[in-house]
Amino acid sequence: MTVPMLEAQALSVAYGKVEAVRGVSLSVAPGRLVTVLGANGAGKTTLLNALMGVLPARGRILFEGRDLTRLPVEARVALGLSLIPERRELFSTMSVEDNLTLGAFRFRNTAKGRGGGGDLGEMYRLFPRLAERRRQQAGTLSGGERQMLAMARVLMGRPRLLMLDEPSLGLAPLIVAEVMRTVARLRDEGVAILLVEQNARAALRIADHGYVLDGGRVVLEGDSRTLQNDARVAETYLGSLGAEAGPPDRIVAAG
Amino acid sequence: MDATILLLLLQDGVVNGAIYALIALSLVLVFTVTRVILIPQGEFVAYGALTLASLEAGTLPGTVPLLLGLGGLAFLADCAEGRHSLDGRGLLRLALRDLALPGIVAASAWILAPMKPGLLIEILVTLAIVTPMGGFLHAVAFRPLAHASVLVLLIASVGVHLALTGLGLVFFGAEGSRTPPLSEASFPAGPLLISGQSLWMIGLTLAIIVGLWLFFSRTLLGKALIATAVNRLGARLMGIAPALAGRLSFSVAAFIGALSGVLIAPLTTVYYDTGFLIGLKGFVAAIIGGLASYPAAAAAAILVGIIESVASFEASAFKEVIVFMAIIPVLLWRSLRSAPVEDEE
Repeated sequence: MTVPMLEAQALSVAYGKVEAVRGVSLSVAPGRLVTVLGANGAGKTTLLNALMGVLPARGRILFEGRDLTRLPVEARVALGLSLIPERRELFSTMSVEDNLTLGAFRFRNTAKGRGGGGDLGEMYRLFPRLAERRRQQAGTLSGGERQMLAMARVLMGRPRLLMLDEPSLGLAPLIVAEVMRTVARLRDEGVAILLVEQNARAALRIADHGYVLDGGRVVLEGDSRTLQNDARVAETYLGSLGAEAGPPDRIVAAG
Repeated sequence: MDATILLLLLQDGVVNGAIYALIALSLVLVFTVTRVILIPQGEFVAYGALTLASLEAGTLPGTVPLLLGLGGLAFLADCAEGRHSLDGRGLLRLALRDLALPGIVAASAWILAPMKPGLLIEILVTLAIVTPMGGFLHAVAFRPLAHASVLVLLIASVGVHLALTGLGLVFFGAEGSRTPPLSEASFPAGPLLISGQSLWMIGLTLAIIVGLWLFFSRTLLGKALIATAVNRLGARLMGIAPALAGRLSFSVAAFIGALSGVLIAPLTTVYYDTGFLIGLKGFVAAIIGGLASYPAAAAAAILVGIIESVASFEASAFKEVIVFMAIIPVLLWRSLRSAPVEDEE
């Protein structure tokens, strides 16, 4: 087996005395799309924040075999790990274009200079709405456009492993389908992805592998087809929540 | 008071206000990026003025050993900070920045000082000595507290101010200094006589404002500073280290402070502790601007300068009282107008 791109070993995160993530181990192989499912409060967001270094954690985090556990967020970004957080964390008073430019910040000192990062033109081709709004303040964008900007901004940094926290949250079904399509395309371009979603149906449709989190623990793991057919998953997560995914045909077209 | 006197007072106020504006701008910059209220900004002003005065006198300024010492401390702090991720190249970079750079500056000051190379070179050497101190102070005193509350940062800031004032006394002594004006020229304008010095002050202030604007709107580093001020977590997720942004903003503040000192040194006798009062007036202006708005802070600084000069004519004994009381209605107005601002993110 190849070295996993990202590996968490017995990761635990506590807020004071409350453990939100308890001994979670997971791995993401190169070029794979792995999803983490779970209800509200299952510890998904906490898990991603710990992997990124936003929250302190016990246990070990390996990125291509290198121990990240004590590195700050910025050092993890420099290695090619990226997170789009649930709240997007855009630079709301800055223009769309400035947001994008800053996405390539980690390349400012490399030999390739800014050329090492993504290319503005490429992002505008990928997300034409952003081109129309390049001079507008990021804070004035709609929910869908904000998610597009968050994705484009992160892609400017050419991440090698991208973590997304609820990218479909608060978006209309059509836009959810577009977001999922973009995520799947990134995977096809070789970016490893760790996708946290409440919209389990949409996530499992594009994922290769999945983990189900409950009460801060991994309660189920398997390839996405197995999970899709698993009675417990179907009952718990694909029931009413699945309706948010919108008409299935659009999503199939995405894959 | 007749119209001529009023004009004179206005002129005086605008010139002093220009200095307060520079200080207010750096306070806003440092606060928005690091949440530190930079009380020691006034010390950079005093150090700038006193350093230039000793170079004028042909002696090695006391700030040179201070720079070397701070560089050494910053090197230790940087090594401690990077102990988990530092490799050979990283260590070399730190040594260049914290040890070699101050060393080169110190050596050139040592060579140039006895030669009395003229005002322009002396000003450049002054800026080169004081500017790096900002970054060093950040590394030594503030970066280890990056996650502390605004109040803790403020207390640290007061501590650094007291330490720097004391060091100023050690290195420069209790004697005040004054430097010759940047320009002896003067131009009559109606009843007024506009001095070359005041034109220099206003011109350089405008140049700094334009320079800052270009830095923030045209360069990636400038945008990274704004980004850190707008959304610290978002900036970190783009790989912009708060430590880098903090060091940069402190360096800019030290540069602007030293330049203010150079500008003010011909107008008034500067002592080791003169900077505090000047910094405080810049702070009043920054507060009027809500510690957030650059244009509001700059405009308020001019107003502070004018209030000060009118007050010193009408009621000179109460001049400082009147200036600092101006902050009270502003604070009242601000607290009535806006919801309580969250202290922490």
